[in-house]
Amino acid sequence: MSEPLLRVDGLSRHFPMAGGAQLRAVEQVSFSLAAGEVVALVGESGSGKSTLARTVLGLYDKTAGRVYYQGERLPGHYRAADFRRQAARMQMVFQDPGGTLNPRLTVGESLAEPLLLSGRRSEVAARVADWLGRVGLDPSAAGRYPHEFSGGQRQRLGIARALIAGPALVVCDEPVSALDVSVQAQIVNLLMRLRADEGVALLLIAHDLALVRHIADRVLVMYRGEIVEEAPVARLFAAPQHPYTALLLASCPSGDPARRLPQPAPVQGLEVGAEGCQFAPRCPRATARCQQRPALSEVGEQGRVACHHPLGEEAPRSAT
Amino acid sequence: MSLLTVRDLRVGIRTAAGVVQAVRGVDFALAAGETLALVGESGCGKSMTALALMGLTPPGATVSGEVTLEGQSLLPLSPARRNALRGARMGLVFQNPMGAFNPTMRVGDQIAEVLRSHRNLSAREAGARAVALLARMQVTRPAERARQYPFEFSGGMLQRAMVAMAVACEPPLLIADEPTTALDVTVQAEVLALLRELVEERRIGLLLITHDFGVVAEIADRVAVMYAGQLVEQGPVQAVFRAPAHPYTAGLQAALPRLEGPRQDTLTTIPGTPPSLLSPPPACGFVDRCPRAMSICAAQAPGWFDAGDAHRSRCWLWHAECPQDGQRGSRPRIGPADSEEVSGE
Amino acid sequence: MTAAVDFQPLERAPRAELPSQPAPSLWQAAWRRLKRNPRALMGGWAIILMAAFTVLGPWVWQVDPGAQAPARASLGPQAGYWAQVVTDEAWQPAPLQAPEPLTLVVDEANTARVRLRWTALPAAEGYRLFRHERMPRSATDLGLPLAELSPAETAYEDKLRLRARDYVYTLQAMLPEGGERQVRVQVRPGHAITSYEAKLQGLLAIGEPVAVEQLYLPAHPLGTDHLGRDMLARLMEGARTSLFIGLLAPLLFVGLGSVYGALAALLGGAWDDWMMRFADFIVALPFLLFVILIRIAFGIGPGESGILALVVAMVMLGWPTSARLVRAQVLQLREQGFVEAARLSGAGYGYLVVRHLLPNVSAIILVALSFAVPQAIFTEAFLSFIGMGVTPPTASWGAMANDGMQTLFNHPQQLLLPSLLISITVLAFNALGDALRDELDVRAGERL
Repeated sequence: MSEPLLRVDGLSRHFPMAGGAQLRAVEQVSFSLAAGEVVALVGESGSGKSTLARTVLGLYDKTAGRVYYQGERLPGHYRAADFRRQAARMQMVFQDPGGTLNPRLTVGESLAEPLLLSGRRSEVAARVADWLGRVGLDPSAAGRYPHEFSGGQRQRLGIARALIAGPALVVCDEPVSALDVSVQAQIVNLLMRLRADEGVALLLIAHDLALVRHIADRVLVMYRGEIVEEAPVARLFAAPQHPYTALLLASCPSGDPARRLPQPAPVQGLEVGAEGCQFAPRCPRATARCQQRPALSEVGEQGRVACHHPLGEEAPRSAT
Repeated sequence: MSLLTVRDLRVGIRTAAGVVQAVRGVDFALAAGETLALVGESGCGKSMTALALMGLTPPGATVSGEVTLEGQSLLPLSPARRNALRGARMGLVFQNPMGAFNPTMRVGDQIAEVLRSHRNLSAREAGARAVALLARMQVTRPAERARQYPFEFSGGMLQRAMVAMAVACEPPLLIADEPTTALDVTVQAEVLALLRELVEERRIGLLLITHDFGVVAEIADRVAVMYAGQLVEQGPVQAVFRAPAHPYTAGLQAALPRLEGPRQDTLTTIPGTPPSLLSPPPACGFVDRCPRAMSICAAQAPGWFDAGDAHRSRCWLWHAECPQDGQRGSRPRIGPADSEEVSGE
Repeated sequence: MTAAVDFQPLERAPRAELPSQPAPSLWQAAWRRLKRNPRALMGGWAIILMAAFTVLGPWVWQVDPGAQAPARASLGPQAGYWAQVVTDEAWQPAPLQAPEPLTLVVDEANTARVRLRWTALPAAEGYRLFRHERMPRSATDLGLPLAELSPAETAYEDKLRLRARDYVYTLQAMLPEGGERQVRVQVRPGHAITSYEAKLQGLLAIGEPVAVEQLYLPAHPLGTDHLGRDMLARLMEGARTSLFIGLLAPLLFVGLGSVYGALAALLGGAWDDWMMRFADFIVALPFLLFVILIRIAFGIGPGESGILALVVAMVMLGWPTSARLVRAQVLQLREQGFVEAARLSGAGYGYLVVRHLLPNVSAIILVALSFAVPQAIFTEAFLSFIGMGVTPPTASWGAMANDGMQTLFNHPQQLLLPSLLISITVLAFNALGDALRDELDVRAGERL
């Protein structure tokens, strides 16, 4: 099999905390991403999905592990020159539409930045105008300031800035969670269209499972800094293997008042030490074996799960 | 008789640019044991409506209209009287529980304090009640938790403690403003279930303010959809979800990606942005974004039209003389439930 | 209107997605809002007037603020006037020849002296001389007793604080067995200056014979201080000192603090920790003690003027406030998408600071500056007032207020005038700072 676009191998990122302890925000994460593929990273707040994405991009130093882009190993600590080389490979779309553009620069100046910084100074104005059009804005918007635009428009400008240098991979950090529903749909449609037109691969960080189901090809589920399950999107929603994935799915409102979620059953979890499965305290299936951390192992085709007691085919979502 | 009635509620907020008419004549009623969801997007006035009911509007805001709780008119009351009502007759739950607790006081003491100020309980009784309340909210090891400080609680636990504080004096009305927005989905499911139980168990009237249709579907009995400072649709939750009677509601529902069914190629979007409430449009506020807009919509503001059993819509499409696919008087096709038929034509 | 027409679908032109009106940049918008803000207007104009007073004032009002005139000390507002020059020879009055006894005549009447002579009353056992500022209303209402004279004296020279106004002199001759006789004369002394006084003020050359009879004495629109120096000129001179210190010190310490804070935030980690602990340490130093120490280190004794020491002390101790402010802002900015996006595109430190960080903290720095200026002016005034800053003869508002304390009860304007200018300036800068803080808000463009 040929080398994937991005391969992450045993990546960890720890943060020092007060008292000398280490916060293991990302611990031993491995995955790969093919060209043009949309991979979603889901999990609750604090699960490390944002840290993982930023570590992959080099915004955070790597504590351990390696990242390969088309087989080329990326540095553990980035200097400005490393970012300049990477600008045409990987870019990012940010969550907060208010902070995604510098309020003191015109939209055109913000959009031109990736081009100018990575040394492509030809036809900058034409490219900016072209990209404004592609995200559905008038080219004359280049002379305007960010505060003149709505949240959704700013998010589109953020997407244009991420794509203008022609990267093969764009990390989208909760690109719509700060937006209203009617605007979310515009952004989601835009991302889908750009993916089809440009063939760009997306690493999508999201907590909204319905959105993930709509956009993603493959899903990585994170819990406390580790990947606990990986599966193609259809498989994941039809037959989650990890009890945590199952819990996430079971907690999502169906959007249908006729089928409300059942009362969550109280769970008698298992207290485990630092070496145990992190989910055991909340897990209805925990046994003594869970005192040992389960490895991420293959289940079925293209799927992996880190659990001693995966659900198998027994609990498709429709039964809950 | 209704527990809470709101009639022609208007809130204006003075700003440097002029008066923002955040709420422009809102009417609804809430019965005991009922959950009404006030749903809308940011800036639609739903939170300002909630603050006006609580009597917590910001300085510079003018509130008019009529708000009646258990037969008592609230707006003419002095700030001190309204203060006494909060906690005793209406419990409040906010989006950010960390901001609602005093960080330097133990959680149990804060709940007990509410009980003591409204109920004249001794410190010992109030403390015991606080622990019992925390236990009722499914807080594990309640006695131990009551002695902890807010920062020792997780977000979900603190939100339960806040619900405990809100219902401590058994108020007939609970106003919850985005109570689960800051929570993870697994915790959200637990808090929603808890609220549902409380409403049934204590016959509380729950006014839920939210932007999330998923939450509405989970918990509401009735829905009121708010847009540009006005309610545009009101009705039983089943009816509103099955057959939305206002193009705005229909548009919002179509814009949401779904957890089930076939994957859509593109999501339906609502073009444009809501109108500025500094100078609200005289006609329908949705006309610029509406796929079904008619010339009357730009000329005259619609009133309420019946759209079914206890289901009302503020949309000209329901006018008796509005032609529906060539036929007058038949039900207009607005929502996704109808749209499949439409696309089949 | 008929319903059939009204229910026709609405024709709409497809709209381009663009904000309808080009909005101004954040700076332009802030400037427009400032121009409408009453506090900004009030503060801004007051500062402009104060600057004109300080810079242009001495061009218009060319009076030496250091020139002393002891004879003209603590005057109220005065117009300029011509004064007769009088010499200081001793007066040898000849006895007055007049037919009537107890005839009172005025030989000379000017503000330097009023010379009175009278014919002796043979029976008199002595004389009393009174001066009143108006005509006496009763026998006992005679005014200020000037002198009690023996029967042999028949002349008197009055030099007691004379002004150019009407006086009524009453001469009382005391007769045996308690009897008395009075005579009265009304005079209006003309303006005069003694040649000695004129030489002292440099109006006449020393050592030369007095050649002029008249001299023009300058006006004092705000009066003079306790040494006869012109108040207006001194207030202008004091404004220079006060505003110089009040602008220089904040510029230096806000600048230093901003660089320090931005550096701490950018370096982060242990650097940040240590740098901010050091800032905390500086905040904990007692300011007054430090001012005294620096004065000693600079070799400035008590009662000496130390502008440099004052500025050094303010800069050394003043920077942590703005350092904290800027650090917090930069920490916040660092997490913003546009900073991370610029890093992802390969932006270096310098580029980040110049293009993204500085423009976004400049508003905060400006606000910090406009609040630091009144604080520094006030500190200077306070230190000068207690004699730890600028001391006479250098004028500063604080030092002038200190001087004014000495004559507080008789001439309160000497304390009130500099205090008023301090208050106006401090208030103006605070009002402007307040308005700037409101209007320069980075997200102000999003406000309704």
